[in-house]
Amino acid sequence: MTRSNRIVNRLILLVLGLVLIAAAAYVAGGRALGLPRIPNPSVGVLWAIVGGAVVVIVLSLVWILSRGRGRIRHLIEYESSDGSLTIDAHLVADLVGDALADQPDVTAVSSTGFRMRGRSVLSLRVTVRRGADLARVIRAVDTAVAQLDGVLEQQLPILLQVTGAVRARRQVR
Amino acid sequence: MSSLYPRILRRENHRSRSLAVSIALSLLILVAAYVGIECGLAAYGLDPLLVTPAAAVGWLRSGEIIVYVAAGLAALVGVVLLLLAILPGRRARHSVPNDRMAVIVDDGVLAGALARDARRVADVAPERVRADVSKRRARVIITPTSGVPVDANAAQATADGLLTELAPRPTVRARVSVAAAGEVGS
Repeated sequence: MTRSNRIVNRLILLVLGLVLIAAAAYVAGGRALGLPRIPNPSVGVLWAIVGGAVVVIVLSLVWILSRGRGRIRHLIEYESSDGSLTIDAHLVADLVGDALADQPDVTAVSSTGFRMRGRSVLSLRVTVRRGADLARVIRAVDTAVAQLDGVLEQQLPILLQVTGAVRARRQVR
Repeated sequence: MSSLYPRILRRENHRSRSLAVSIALSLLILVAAYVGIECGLAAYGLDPLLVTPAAAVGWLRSGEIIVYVAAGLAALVGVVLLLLAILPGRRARHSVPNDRMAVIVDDGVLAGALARDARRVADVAPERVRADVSKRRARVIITPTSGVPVDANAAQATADGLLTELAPRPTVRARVSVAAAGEVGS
């Protein structure tokens, strides 16, 4: 999960699609509809197109390069006079993974962090075996998370994703 | 935190269009760069890279078949982009209510849990039960062993019980069916 603006993504696709369809309709059926023919471009129009192309290229590059932001590695960062403490998403995956070690249905635990509305969110991905007892796995993660809350001395917002073993990467524990 | 979860779940249940947008904009950059360069060269009165803008406009006005084919292809790409923009883009996942966490479960895992319960109740080998889950429906098909009856009602009740306990959203209703023809063996 990232912070990408999804409404604008949809709007961009919508506008590009409509422009393509309109241009195709104009080229293919403009004369039949009585629309004016495409004029020969004057020097002024040529420069306007060059300018427009530069703007389109710059805006497109800005949008493409801004995709996928929002992931974070450090879930918690403390600063104090004695020094600083950071808690890494991998550490959390290890803690939760250890707590789930006695669950035969769980094959892997991984975690990342992302920021949303100014808060660090822990994203836990638990991979289970085919035909796992889903209710039991969720209860076990609940227990593990309660322990985690105790260790971290705070309740991070948590996203738990339970996925099948198809995409499993076996994790040595 | 409570206001954060609905947003997280909504985003996790729907596909991001970032990849589609990035591809579309990359192509747009290539086209804009080429058109811009040709127009710049023509404005300076220099030789074109491939065709002058005037020649290109003349070709578009020519009414040759190839122009219509090109227009048709462009319209097709336009329709694809439009569909990507409008369709919901739901992922094969359901959210499960939980007090502490935002929980998302792949439909395949949900189907696996249903198949597991059905296999227990029907007392058949794992490969005798098939289950799949779509947005609002779960289908469980049990192939019984020949001569050994399977209690379809019990299997249905178990599936309903699991879906009531987990309460996946959007709501899923189970339909358990027992195949008419059994198979020989355990």
